[in-house]
Amino acid sequence: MDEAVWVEDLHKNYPGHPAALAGMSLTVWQGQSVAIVGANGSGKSTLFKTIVGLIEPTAGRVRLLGQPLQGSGRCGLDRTGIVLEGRTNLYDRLSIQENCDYACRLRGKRADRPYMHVVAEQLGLGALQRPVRRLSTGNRQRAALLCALAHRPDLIMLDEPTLGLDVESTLALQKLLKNEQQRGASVITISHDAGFVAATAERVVGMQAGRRAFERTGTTAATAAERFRLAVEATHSLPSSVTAALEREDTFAGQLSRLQSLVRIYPDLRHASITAVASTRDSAVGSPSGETKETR
Amino acid sequence: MKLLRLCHAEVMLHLHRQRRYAFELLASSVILLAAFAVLAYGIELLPTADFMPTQSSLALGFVLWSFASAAYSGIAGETTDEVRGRTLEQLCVVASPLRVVLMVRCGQQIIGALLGTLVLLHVTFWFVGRAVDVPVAPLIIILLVAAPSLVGLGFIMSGLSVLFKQAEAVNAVMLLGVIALVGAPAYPANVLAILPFSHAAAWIIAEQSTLSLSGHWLRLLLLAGNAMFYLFAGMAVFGACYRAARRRGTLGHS
Repeated sequence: MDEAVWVEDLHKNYPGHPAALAGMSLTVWQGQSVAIVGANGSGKSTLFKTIVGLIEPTAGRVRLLGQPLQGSGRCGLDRTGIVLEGRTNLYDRLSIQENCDYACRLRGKRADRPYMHVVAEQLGLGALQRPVRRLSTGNRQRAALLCALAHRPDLIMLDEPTLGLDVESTLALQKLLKNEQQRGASVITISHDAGFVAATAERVVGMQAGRRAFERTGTTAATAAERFRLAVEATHSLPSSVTAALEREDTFAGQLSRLQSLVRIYPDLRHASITAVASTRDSAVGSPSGETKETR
Repeated sequence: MKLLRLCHAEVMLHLHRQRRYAFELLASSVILLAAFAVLAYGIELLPTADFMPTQSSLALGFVLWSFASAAYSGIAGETTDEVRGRTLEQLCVVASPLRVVLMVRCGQQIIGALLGTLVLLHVTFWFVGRAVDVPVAPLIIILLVAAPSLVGLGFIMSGLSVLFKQAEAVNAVMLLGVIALVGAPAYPANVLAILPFSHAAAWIIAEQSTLSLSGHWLRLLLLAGNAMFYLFAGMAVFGACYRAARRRGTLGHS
């Protein structure tokens, strides 16, 4: 199987600050869906930006779609769809469609309007002729996702893709990413959204202090309930009846619906976050032998 | 082939932007011409105008300044806009390096500026009631040969924008500097001729209706050398600033 991203012993130091990356290694195979999770400042976004060449590492090696990001190796970037955290990278005055056209052409690809409309429809994004400056935060995020996906990338890299999205849009994005993965694309996401990670990633890599803290693999369907419970538990200790109620649901949509009703009773559930996984005991985390790992 | 596709992408982006910014474009053109008219006719109202340029050299200077500004802004202005609009990062995560994307944009701006210059030349001379007596072919060749020096200046400014972000004040000063370069008395060759574009502008203004390339090939060669020096110096500064921004992890931050 070909590698989509290969990172070896990556270090990034800023003078006077703790190391942003301290020997991070990661391989993502073609067609795989990986989520990178961790608390704020754990080095997720630095890793993300280093992979796409926005940050120069102090040491270590990176290969994107099988090639280092130098000279002709940069062509891998044209096969990558990227959304950066909190930055839609859209021209305000241009319409959504014009932005998408430019994103495709900039990568040497033809703007495939019919495909663009299909993806837009899946994302619930209408009126592609609307200027970006007139869009709400959530719609801007959807437009940024459309621009990242419109050129049929082989690798999709999304940093906090659910930022500003409502529940329906999040569910639509999950479905879309699944379709992209079935098409053969690799997906790397950074997210604090526990449910989103649970529903989309078949492999979860946890980061802490610039290095890998844990890794979990398995099919989404089999582990979704467990992962979601882990995040909820770690945020606040909840009565076992709550976690049991969540466990009874075997789909994310079901869990979400259940969670929404439980939030009225337990307000702390609103802050359920995957960042809390690091403090959770999980016998299978990052350990083939099954030994217990506690990362905090 | 790849470069052609990039050119296509940039041309389309430029056209879309021109369409979206049509009102601003029209308004700024009208204001610019009005300012020129005030200046041109203001000269005639002065009690003594011995020290002032003639209307036709003022018109030519104005045309040269607008070309120089466009050539300089092709890169510097674009980068500043991308940083301010928080869209720079998307240009850094594609196969074509940022400097290539900027060069394509700049080439486009220079072609646009040349066409605009020809139109402006006729409009400004019509404003001051004179026929255009500047030979167009030598004018275009001299402008094209000297333009890379302004592109080099633009690259320097661009590098500063990528590294320091809030470099707009420096950019404003640089635009004033472009006026000084156009107005510098750098003809015949003197020490001011080593400045970017100054010798070309001074040559065109000094010779005006008798402007010709024959017998001036060495001068043209020196202009080309000067332009290449500033272009490569600018690219080197830009490359250093870009690498520094990547090392600092601040590329694209505004």
